[in-house]
Amino acid sequence: MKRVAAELALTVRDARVRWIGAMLVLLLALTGFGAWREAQLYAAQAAQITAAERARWLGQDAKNPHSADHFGLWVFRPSAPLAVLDPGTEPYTGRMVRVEAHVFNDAVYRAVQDAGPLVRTGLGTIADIVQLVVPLAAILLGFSAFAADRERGTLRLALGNGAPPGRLFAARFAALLLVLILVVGCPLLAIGGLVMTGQDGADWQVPARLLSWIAVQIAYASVFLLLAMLVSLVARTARAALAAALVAWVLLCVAAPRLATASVDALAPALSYREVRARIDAGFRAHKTAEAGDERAREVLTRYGVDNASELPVDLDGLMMFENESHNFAVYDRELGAFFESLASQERAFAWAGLLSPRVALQALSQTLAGTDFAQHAHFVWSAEAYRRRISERMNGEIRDRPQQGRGRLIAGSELWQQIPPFVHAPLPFTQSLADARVPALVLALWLALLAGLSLPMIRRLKP
Amino acid sequence: MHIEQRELPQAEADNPVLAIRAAVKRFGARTALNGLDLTLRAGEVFALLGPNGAGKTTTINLILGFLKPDAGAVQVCGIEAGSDPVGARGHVAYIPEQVALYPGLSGIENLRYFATLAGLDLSVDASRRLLTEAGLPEEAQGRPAASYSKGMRQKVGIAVALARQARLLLLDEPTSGLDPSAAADFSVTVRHAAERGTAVLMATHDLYRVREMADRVGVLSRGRIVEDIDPKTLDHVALEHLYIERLAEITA
Repeated sequence: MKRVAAELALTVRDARVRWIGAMLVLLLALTGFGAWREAQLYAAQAAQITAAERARWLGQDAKNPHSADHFGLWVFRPSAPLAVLDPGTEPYTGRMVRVEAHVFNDAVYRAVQDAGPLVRTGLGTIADIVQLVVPLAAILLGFSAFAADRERGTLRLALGNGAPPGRLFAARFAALLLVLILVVGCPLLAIGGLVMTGQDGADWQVPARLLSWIAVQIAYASVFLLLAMLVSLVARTARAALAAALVAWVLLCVAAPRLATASVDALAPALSYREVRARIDAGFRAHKTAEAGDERAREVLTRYGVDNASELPVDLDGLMMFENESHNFAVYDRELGAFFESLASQERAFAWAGLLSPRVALQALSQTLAGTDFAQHAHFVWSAEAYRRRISERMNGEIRDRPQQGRGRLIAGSELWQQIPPFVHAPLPFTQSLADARVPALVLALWLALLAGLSLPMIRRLKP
Repeated sequence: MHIEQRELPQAEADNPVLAIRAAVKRFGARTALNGLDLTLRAGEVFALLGPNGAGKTTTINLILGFLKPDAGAVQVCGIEAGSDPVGARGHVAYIPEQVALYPGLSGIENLRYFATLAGLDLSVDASRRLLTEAGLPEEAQGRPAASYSKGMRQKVGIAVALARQARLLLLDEPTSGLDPSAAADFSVTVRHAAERGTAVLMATHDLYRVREMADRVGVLSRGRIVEDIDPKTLDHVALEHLYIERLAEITA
């Protein structure tokens, strides 16, 4: 501990460390505060529009229930509280869905070109900063750990007077890691605290998510700190150590993620959405022909043992719509289920692609723990679809169960509309996120273990 | 200067502190050490003389475990420096020719920092005492080392080495950069450490100090010791004459 304290005292006196720290704190604070304000605005707008949609649904005129099914409404996915730290897939996958008869709608998202300038430069979120700038800061802190001492001659005095290389390395690593925790972990914790005070995140288990999220960001920063110190162990000069570490940063943070994405696309290609939609249409078309409709109508009459529709105890149109929807649901389940599964497979492959770059592993891990990953999006989409199906079934069921026997079309009113509860989205629990995080967490741990393993023989052979 | 040294038990004192046996070190085609033998017991002060490139620094690097011998063995207190350099260095205090310090830290802070790295807990008062005894004026001890002359940095290095109370003191041109008064004080310090049982190996060109401090003088030539002299048997002029004579033979 005394060695760590001595290293820490030496480190914090370094003006370079103070500048790096101040820059990081400022960048994280500005971005975090901006994201928090945006999240507050979105939450307020979503609450306002949800209330207006509910009022619109309840206030619709008396009409046939199937028309009400077509009337439709918008449902919103509550943004994950930690989207302030890592919005993950949210800006791309959308957070609201139009729920209406027959159609499994896509989630609607905000176009990236509508976002602020920081977002367009690729540094718009806290996650971007942690993934790109924090490794750079870790490198700037760690590159000189031994190379500068070697160049200055202080390493010779230290080693020649009994400083054990292993303990020296451990103390320096611990001191620099503490600095990173101070300038990265503490601002992240403060922003997380702000999120917790400003939003109702009971369903999200925010404290556990926040602490584990910050822990993995620090683990990620440690990878680059270890990398820089490892380079510093062997480099003759600090300048050479910095150059080598920066090359590693470009490879791991910029080039390798692109390679990882291309590899995943090649090895685990997602189904084409256009083809999926075409197969869905084909599935519907075969069911929608006049001949198929007549056949089903005859089958219904046979099922009830009657000769014509007026003798049925149910409304034939309502029953047919109910059963047609069941068919459509099965087509959606089969085709879109396969489509979402192909995307989920890509996500799983992407987590393993973290072996190419710790940034890729962090991306997968960070979004999962923040609750902004693809699994949460898919869960929202299917929840919204389940809600849509409940409305369709209730409306069509109302028509089916109240045959008009020649009295014209059934007209329903607010009593029926009120039987449809508001849409409430329950996110996937944290335990599910932890299970999903196993692979990227393992991959990140492998990076740490690899670098620690590489460091050991170099530490043993440390020379001035 | 007066530093508290631990007394050695007799058995420990009888064993060689440093034992170099037939050490060979090559750098490519060049042979830096060619069967070097050297034994140093507790309390002995050995001066290693030789021109630049004779192998003095290589010898020191072998003892510190920074280099491994290609053949032969280097042991410090019975520990093989090649295979267990950290263990061997645990018994060594070392003052390099160019003492480098952290420029932003004061003399006291530098001393305490290096002591902490070596696992010592040195108070500010103890640090002041050591620096004063090493010859660094009190008014300079709190100043940033960036303002220190080479001699002042050397004195901080001496204080670091003395704080270690090691069994073997390695000195590389120890009086280089010291003013005559500080060099004289340093001689007394080294002699005192030797009287307390510390073995001292110094690589130097300072024949005057060699005669003052050393019990034995070895002249290093082409990677081995060609002369092992008791400097007390020669006066200063004779010693200088002998060294120049040897130097001429080596460089011929």
